[in-house]
Amino acid sequence: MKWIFKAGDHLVFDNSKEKAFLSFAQKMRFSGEIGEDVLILEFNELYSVFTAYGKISNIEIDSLDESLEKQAYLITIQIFEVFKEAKQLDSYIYSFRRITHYSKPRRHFNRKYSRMYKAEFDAVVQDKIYIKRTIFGTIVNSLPIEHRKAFVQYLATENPEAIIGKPDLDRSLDLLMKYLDYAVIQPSKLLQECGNLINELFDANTYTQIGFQEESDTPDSTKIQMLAAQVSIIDKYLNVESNPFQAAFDIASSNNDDNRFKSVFKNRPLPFDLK
Amino acid sequence: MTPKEIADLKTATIKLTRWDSSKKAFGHYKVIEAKRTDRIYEFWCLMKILQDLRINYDIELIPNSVGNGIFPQSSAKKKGYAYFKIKHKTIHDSKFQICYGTKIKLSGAPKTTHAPDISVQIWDSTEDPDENMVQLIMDAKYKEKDGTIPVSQIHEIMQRITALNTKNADKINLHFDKLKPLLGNCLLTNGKGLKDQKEYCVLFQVKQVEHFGISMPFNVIG
Repeated sequence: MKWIFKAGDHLVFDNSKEKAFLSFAQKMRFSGEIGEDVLILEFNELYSVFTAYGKISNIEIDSLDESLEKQAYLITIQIFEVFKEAKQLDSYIYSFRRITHYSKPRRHFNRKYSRMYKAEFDAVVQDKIYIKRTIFGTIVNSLPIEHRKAFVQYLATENPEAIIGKPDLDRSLDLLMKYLDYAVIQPSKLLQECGNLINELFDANTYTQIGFQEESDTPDSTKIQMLAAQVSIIDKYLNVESNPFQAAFDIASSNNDDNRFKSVFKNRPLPFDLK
Repeated sequence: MTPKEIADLKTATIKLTRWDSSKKAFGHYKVIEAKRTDRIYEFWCLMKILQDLRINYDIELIPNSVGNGIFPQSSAKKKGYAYFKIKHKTIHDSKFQICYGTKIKLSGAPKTTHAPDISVQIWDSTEDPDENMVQLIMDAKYKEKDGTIPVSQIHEIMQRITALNTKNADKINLHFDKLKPLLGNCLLTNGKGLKDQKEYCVLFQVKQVEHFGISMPFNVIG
């Protein structure tokens, strides 16, 4: 068994940072044992970060009061490493089984301590994240709602099992990359070429004035889709040298099976919502 | 992928899927509850046609009323949007308007409009054109890789050709350069056409132009 211990008043580090002490009182028996791995999670106003990991080296139990049936626990953690670079919870949200709220993952870690799977522990400590699920979740949850809904409809047509709660993540990621290519990346390349053609045909001033607007929209510059600004964005994010999508495409089509995670995430829903 | 690469992927996805100027969703997505989607492939087809016509014609952008090159997001009245005027460099009577997404009314049924993606209109076409001012139409269909035009889209453009009376589009005084095979009413697609509908197309004066996309060469059926 592995554990997440949350930092707070009840978790105290000694001066050398080689040990930490978790104290709490409760009726329920703490099922942790000496030798088990612990990951420490800290929340402050701005960040949710994993700060260190170690092992349980001692468990002390005192009965508080026989009639209350509560017991006071003092758990000693031998710290193996204080992470030099903070490990943000956000970097690991798609590797934790319990997380379903991707924009506010904190709410899944309310307790002073909770269990975690080995795969989750390794994800954080060794940065062995569930890469396919992370790519899937990162992309879909960054899409505007129109794309998300259109993608869901596409997924329902191509892989209906995904919609009824038995998703094949690998297949869903494959379909996501196909959707992205069709709906965003190819149109981006077409728009880039439109930009080149306009520059060929007309002067630089005309280039900056080309845009698209709905008949029903008022002539307000925030409602017009301007070509030049968009081509700049496309040049920046789709250029050959640093295209974040290329790595995603490569991983999606690889046979990287992430078997450690498959059993942990069996029958979990796909990691996105339609909010 | 490192955490930084994941973060870059997130930023890139956020940026690339939204129009920078209006923050609306960018791309060709199927409209479910939303009112609009982009028609980037359609606009690209227009640009490719102008690129070809430039060899023989002087091309002028006629700006919209606000003085800009603003085109309709989806089909719209001609008034208030930009379009192009082209004039042959040597053949004086070869001059036209090239319009994008314009709603064209029917003189016998003015409340009914058809809006081909691209229309070649007469030089003096008005702000509120009817079928008498239109000489050639093209519709563009953006498909998934290996996607094929369904026969319903061929029926649709034929109906449009009949309503707008552009059956003689292949005979108009318009001089393409490398795109000569496109002289006529066209159904343009980056995907595949229907080869067994060739005779149907010939009978009703429409050309399917398949593989008309970034990786050409295109092929004309009909």
